Amino acid sequence: MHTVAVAHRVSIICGCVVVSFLVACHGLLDASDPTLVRDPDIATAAGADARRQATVAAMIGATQSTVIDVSMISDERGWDQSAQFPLGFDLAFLDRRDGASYERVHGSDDPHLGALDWIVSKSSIAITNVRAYTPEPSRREYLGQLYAYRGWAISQMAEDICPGFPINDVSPDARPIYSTPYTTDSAATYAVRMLDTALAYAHDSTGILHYASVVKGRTLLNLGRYAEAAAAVATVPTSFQYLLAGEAGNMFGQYGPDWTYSGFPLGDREGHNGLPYLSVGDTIRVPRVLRGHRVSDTTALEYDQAKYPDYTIPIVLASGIEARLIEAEVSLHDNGGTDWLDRLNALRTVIGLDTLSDPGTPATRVDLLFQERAFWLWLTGRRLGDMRRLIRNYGRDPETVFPTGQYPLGGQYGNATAIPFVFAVEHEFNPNITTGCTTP
Amino acid sequence: MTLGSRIGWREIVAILAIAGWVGRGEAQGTVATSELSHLTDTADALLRRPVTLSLDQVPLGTAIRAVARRAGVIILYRHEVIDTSSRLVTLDAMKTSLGDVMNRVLSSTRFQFVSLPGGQFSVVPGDIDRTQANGGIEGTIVDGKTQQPLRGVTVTLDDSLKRTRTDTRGKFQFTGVTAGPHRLTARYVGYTRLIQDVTVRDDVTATVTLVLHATGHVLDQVVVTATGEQRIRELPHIVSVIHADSVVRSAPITDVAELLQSRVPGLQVVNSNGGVAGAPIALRLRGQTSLSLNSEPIVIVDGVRYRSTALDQNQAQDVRGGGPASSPLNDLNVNDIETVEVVKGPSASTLYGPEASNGVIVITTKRGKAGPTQWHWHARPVSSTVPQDRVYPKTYAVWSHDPNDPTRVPLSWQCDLVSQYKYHACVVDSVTPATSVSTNPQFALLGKNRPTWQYGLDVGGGSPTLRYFLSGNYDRQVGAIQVAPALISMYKRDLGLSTVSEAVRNPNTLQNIGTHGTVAADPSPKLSLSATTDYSQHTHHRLLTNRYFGAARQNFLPPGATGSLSDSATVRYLRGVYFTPFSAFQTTEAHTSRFTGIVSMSATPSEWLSARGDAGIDVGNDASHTALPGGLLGSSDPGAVEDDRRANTGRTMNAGVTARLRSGSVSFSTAVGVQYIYSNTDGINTSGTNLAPGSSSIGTARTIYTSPVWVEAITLGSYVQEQLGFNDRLFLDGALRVDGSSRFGDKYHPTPLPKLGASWILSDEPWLRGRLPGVRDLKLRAAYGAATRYPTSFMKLGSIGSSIVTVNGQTYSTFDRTVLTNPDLRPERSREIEYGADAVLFSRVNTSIAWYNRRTLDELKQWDNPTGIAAIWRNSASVAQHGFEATVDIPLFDTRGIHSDVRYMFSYNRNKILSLGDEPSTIGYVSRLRGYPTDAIFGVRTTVVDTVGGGPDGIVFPEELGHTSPYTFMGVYNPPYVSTVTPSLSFWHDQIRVTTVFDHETGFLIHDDFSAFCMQAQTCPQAFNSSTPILLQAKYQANNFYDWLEPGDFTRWREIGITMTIPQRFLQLKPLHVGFSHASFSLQGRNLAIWTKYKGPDPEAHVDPWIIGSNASGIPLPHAWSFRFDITP
Repeated sequence: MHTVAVAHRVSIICGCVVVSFLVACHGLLDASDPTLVRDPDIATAAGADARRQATVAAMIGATQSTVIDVSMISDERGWDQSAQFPLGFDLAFLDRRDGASYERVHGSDDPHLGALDWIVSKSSIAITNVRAYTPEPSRREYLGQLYAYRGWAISQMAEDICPGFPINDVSPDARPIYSTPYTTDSAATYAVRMLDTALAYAHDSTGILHYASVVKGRTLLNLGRYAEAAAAVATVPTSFQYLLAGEAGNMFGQYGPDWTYSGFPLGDREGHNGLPYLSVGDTIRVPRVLRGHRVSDTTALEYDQAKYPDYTIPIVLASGIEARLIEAEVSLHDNGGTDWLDRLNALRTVIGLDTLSDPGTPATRVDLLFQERAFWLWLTGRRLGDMRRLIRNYGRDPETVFPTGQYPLGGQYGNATAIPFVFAVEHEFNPNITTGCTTP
Repeated sequence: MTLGSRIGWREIVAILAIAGWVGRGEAQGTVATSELSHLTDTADALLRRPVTLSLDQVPLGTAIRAVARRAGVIILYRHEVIDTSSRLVTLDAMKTSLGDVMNRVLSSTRFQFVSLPGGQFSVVPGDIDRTQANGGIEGTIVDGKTQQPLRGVTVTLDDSLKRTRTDTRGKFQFTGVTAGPHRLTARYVGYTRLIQDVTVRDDVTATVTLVLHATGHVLDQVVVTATGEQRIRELPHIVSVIHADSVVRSAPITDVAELLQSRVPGLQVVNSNGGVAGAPIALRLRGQTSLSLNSEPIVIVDGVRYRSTALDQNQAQDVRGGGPASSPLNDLNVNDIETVEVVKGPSASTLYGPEASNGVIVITTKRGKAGPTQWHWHARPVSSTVPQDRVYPKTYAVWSHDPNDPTRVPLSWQCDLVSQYKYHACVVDSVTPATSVSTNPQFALLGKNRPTWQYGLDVGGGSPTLRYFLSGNYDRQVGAIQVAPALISMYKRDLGLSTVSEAVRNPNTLQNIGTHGTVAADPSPKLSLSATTDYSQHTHHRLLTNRYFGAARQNFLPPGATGSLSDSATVRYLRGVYFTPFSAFQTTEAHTSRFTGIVSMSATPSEWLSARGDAGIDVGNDASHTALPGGLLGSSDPGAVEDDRRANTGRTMNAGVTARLRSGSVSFSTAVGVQYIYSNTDGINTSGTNLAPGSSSIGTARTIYTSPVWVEAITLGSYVQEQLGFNDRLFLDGALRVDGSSRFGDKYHPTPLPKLGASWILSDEPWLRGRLPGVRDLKLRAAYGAATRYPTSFMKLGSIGSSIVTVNGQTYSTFDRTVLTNPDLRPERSREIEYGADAVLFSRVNTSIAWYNRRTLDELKQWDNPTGIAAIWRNSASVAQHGFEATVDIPLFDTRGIHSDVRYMFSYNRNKILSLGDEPSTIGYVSRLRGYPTDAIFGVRTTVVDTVGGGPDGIVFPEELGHTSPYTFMGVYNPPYVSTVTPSLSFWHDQIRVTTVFDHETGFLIHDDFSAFCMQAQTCPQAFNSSTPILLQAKYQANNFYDWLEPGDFTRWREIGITMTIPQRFLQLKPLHVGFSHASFSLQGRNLAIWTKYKGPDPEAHVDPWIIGSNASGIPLPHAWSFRFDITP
């Protein structure tokens, strides 16, 4: 037994020595990764600029998806059974205003809110880095641009997403900040604050200045702060355009503005309440190309949009035309005589369209003004905001604004008046979101 | 006389002449007359007579008398000499041969046991000078079932002081042995340990034949563990053993994956596309064990970690293009493997490290054996064909006309019920069966009788102190997918080419060349050294099979087409449905070279202490080149190319010491060890386009993108294990392991991981003997172990991605945080308890069963944060898992040279998510929910209410469709129930052996791609037949993925092997001057039939084996027939 005891003592001591050695020797476990980019590696002006460009890239993606999604739930695009995914397809649910089904098929992502929220979180990181590393005068210009994009994204959320949605963000040390729910108004107010910050920084950058002004005016319009809206856009020249274009095939993909793939042609009086985008024959503001006969009705012709003939055609994010439209709406709201109509006709005259006559009643004047907005701003992501403003600011019944009745591909149009956020996704990750969409 | 001291007549006379011995001899023991029939038996037969006896400290004479009585033999001895011996005998024999019993009784005495004429025996005094070491022992070891020699058996002389291994003829030899009694111990992985006493006489070489049994005494089988060789009786957990050398010769096995398939309960080999040469595979031991991390078991080859997956253990996916890479596990030539041991359960990670928490596959390669140089040659031609009926389902064409325009050509498209009855756009004229054009041999995408050739040559031999083994192999496989000759002609004509390369004609081939060698030396009885090298080189033409298979399989020729290339309608159609020249001329050629070098040492400085150490490297280079030449389709065709280069480096160092001691009936075993494992992948991926016309070189690309690949991981761990054995019946062991890993950086403080186990040979307990009729070798076991699994540094530190963005025509670089940081991330922790029992029932049936429960905490889960926040990894889930495994070996009959047995294996595995952190309260599309399995499928089924038009009209309109709500649990992707039946039958004393394998898997769902494609292509009659039941019409209209999920249950005839060993008398063809010491040939079949109600392609063919649920367009497993010739000169 003596040998046994000695042997075991030796073994246990050896074991302890080995264990102690391993615990102590962290240096043996140092591994490297030369491919890994860490925050300290890019703590430079160039690194900050690259972070800013990531926000710009997010803007490109978000504006394109906004154009598509807004066109679906609104009346800008029609329906057809030859769509590749007639049923069970998220855009089809949007087209049918079936918010519940749209949310169901997006159980693991939230494309619309997500695309917009990327701008918010990426701009946070970019703003932190630009503040720290970008020298003047670029620093102020870049901060103005980033806050303007941030304001646009939040404003677009307020226009498009049903109330109760989050505006999630990221802290400077790359930790998540989960948002509390926002209403349409609280989000719009948040957007105005961001846009004011942008204007403060961008006073030397005319493009950003005008861009932020138009977005601010549009947001204030939604908030019913008409006078402030008119004031915001007053200095924006009519010829101004703020453009953003991506790379061919980079972002648009299958369901991009060249949506011949997606099977949803131009809308024309969709669901009774839709505007007559085709019937009016305005090929200047609503350019189209003949697709062919409708599959289910060989006597009917279908058209695809021709506003974006290829992927590199930029989307107009803000313009002097929109500034004048805002002023016209403010004028109409303030009972400014025919000023509102004169402003509309002035714009039409420039492109050779006939002038409009006063329809005579307050309601029809509003209808005319919003139709003009719809045609001028066709496929730029504004239409859903306008339709919701008709409901919120002008007291219209949603069923007189949105497509309604029998949906041609089966069933009835739903009752969604905004793009739902995907509650299951939010609730899974965000402890502050406990309910889905509240009443728009 | 197997004891070695064979006594001739001359010696008998001399013995009898010893004064007073025979004359006054006594037949000790009472022998019944009826029992004296043994007098007609030979002495050898009597010596093998089984004796069961238990003696405790009795005098020598009493012991001899007791043995004689139990054996029924006469043993003569001179009692006044024997009885005065001070030797007290303690003996515990259970059906032990008489010779063995007497040698044990007489051990440590000066007496010998000898046989006399007439079937009598005597105990005589030994008169040999034991100080002279000029005797010897030589012997042969054979398999108890096949009587074939066993090579590689470790034979130990007298408690580990001298060791050797048998050669290819099963022979071994010890020289310089002192005269007197000795004990031989033969150990061979998977066989019963055999202890044989041998008496050596001066100047005489004793000759013995030892018979090892692979079954019967399972508990004494020896397996290789991390702490050295151990008997199964000592282990508290299951270790499954595959004797690769014999299996490979008789079964249809091309690679390691096929060797593992259907041979171990609980081990699932997930196939990727069938018929694809070099298709990747995935291994799952006891199912998917982690939500996010790799679930592959690790592979240890000769003690050293072997890279077995194309991915880093915790890397999500392989970035390489041009089709998936072949499994690195198959770099190892299956003919070089001696044994494979599969370690499951709690012990794996404790002894093999954290990455072993998914289990361990321990591979031992062939070693050199002492003896004359032995050559061995094998050849194996294979012919495989993918079954056409599981690739191309029956399709139908509907012929119709437009009622509004009768002049239009007949429609064969989209005349579904909605078009007929809702829009009145067409009227059906007829429905005709249609054959897919793909089955036309001149256009077929799947070739028939695709060949594989395997050749191998090995040589081994050496002296007892220096042995060698060297092998070489050459394999070439041709995958099922081809570009048919007619299509090649069409492309050549269209593109103006004079020729196309072989890589275009046969885009999927795999060629392997490899060598394997070992040198083993025993410079002293206490030290063994070995060095092993393995080199392999592969040339693999890879392809993305889903580029070739999709809805095209549903198509058929249009009206009027003749099906020939001279017919323009056919050509037009072919261009429409077949892969385009773009995909046909895109080729991927991958080259892999890999070298493994291992140096091992084992030392036995004293009887109670042993030490071992391994050091090895596993280095390799992968290079792939995917190219579509520029200008092929026209002057503006940019072409495309992708080059991928990777250097893989692995280093392993193991060192361990084991002390084994015995004090009375208690044995102690203490093992300590340390492991260092390093792995690194360093590579770069470069892709480019806008190539120079005709070029496939990236050097001519005007647009180039590159991305680096770098993965480095270091693990350092140590363990201490203590085992106590009581009476060789009860074993208790405990172990503790501590690891550090680079995956965690210096903020991680290692946590000791414990392991506890108990093994109790209940049937050996004296108080239970005879009380368990029909049961022997009953062992109860239980084991508990804890393990961790590390996240990647990527998971903890997050990542910042870089890309190029084009804004208003200008390009910019971006830095974008794609994964957020989480400095609080912890490893996944798991605890597993395994219970089990082994037993031999009715002296024939071997059984082994195991239950296990596993709980994994802190499972890593990626929070996708889709609404504007980058993903982040968190420890937020826990999963419970349980299962059952059973193996039963039943000998059916063994008579007149015909033997039959059957093996049945069954495994059951289920899991349930216990928590997911802040989980959603509603069931949605998310497939992972608390209370449901990790591979759960949630979905909605289509519903229909036939109300349009005022009432039921038998036609489903789109507006009548609905769906169940909400999403409900439908089933799981992975088969929870797997069983395998392996019957075998042998004739003429195993000269001809037939073994076959059937697999049966149930309880899982899989998508029916055929019906889904059929629905989309409208090539099934249900789409346009108004008599189709309402619900089925609804399924064909709804385009709902979940409607086409159906049970994937199947039974597959996996293998058959008919092996004939050529009798010796035919092997010596002297007139031809040709002689072989061994020759056999085998007819082998694989995947010969499948029985299933599943209507899709193949429930086992997964496009991506890493995602077991994936099955879109999987190519069925091919039928394969092969011959194998094995010749030993």
